[in-house]
Amino acid sequence: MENKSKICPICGNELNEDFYCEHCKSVINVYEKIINTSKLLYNQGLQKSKVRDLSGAITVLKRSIKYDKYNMDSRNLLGLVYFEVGEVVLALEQWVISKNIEPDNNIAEYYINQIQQNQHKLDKLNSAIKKYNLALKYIDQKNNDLAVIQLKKVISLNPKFLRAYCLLGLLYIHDTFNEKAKRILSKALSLDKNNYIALKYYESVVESEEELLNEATDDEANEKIVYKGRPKVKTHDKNPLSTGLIYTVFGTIIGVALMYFLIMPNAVNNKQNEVSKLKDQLQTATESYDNQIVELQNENTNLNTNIKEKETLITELEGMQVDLEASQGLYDAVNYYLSDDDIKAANALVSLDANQIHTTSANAVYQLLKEELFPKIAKSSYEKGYRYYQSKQYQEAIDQLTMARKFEKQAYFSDETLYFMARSYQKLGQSQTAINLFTQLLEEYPEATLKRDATNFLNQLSQ
Amino acid sequence: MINFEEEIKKFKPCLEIEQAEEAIYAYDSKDVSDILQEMIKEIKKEEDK
Repeated sequence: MENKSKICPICGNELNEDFYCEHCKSVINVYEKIINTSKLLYNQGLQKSKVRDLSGAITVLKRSIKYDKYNMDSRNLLGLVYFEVGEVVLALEQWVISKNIEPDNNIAEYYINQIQQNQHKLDKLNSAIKKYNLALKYIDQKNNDLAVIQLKKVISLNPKFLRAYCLLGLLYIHDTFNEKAKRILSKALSLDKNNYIALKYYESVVESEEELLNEATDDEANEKIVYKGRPKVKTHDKNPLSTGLIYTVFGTIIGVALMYFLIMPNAVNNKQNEVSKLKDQLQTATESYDNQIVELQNENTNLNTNIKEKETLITELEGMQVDLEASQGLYDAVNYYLSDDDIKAANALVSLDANQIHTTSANAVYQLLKEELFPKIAKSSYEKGYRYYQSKQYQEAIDQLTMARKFEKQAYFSDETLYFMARSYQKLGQSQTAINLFTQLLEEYPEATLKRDATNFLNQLSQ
Repeated sequence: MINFEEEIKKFKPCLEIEQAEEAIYAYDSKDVSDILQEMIKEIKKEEDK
């Protein structure tokens, strides 16, 4: 609870509750006057609230609490008026401050409880606020159709949300839906009869309608002038024989004119009413159709977004699958290596696609094993292969030398590996494979130690 | 005639209920008496000097 005591403007000492200064021995009237002004403004605010001049009530009640912040009646009523025009947060703000200043016997507590106890209602009100803010964003993005849809939802969630009515009215004016604008602004004015914005917009719609009407009247006047300017029909000389005929024709004309002036207007009016009703129905149907199109377009956009997201997810999952496979391969290689099965470990490494190993640590393990195993196995296989070649076991030689090639292609023995492979195939009578390998040897290793021999054999085989 | 672009600028986003606490803390509750008393205190300070 705040300290409400006032100080004496003469001596600076604290006054008592009756604004009496013990030091100066005098009553200080200025504070009482301020408090009375605040009360007077509260009364005005109450009167305005009763006749639903809520904007006016807000103005005077704000002034009232500016005069006396402890005027709880003004503050609570201000909260109530804010709530009545859909400004939930501003209402809560006033009531919470009120309850904080005056914790006991304060009706603000009842108001706060009423709101807080009904969570569903509170959610609806908050949702209305969020949608209103969203509508403003849509307008900012020049997406007025979506804004209109949002604002309609806002009003259905919180039928007292005055700002939403005014904004929707403005959008209708912008889209020249004058009747709708008038309807929605009338609702706003039924909530707050002196709302400046709603009044201004409503008058603007009426003015534009009057302008249209004046333009239409001017057009009709111009048409009449045109008729006046038309040449007159030639009159014939009087003929006694034709007099009867003239009377008959004249009578018929009078009859038609009577029908035209007495019966037709009603019929025309009825038809006009029907036409205007049909126009209204058509406009409503068009509008509902437009709304549906917008909603469907939104749904379509959302679905496309979902599809894209899912595609991205699938790609990511595929990537993860590849990662998983690579990790599994690497895991196998490490296991073989740890159980001293170097060849299986090396084979597991060879079957891995190094590009699919994305993590730094896994890549480091891969490189380490590769550098450790590949040269060692290649050299050992080369040596075995060479021994098999010398002992004329050519198929075994080919198997070993192929393995050596598999793990190493840039070692000092790589050219010889290819040479003895070619020779083994030559010995086995597979000339074409031998030719291919000799050619490959000469292309890949131009400085090969056995270049001359390879060339000679190649020439022999090619003949 | 209403200027749509100008009018739309006057519509500001509404405070959401989650922001109510901030708004209450930021609320300036100073009244005329507070201002008057501040003035008195300042005048007294000047006089004391």
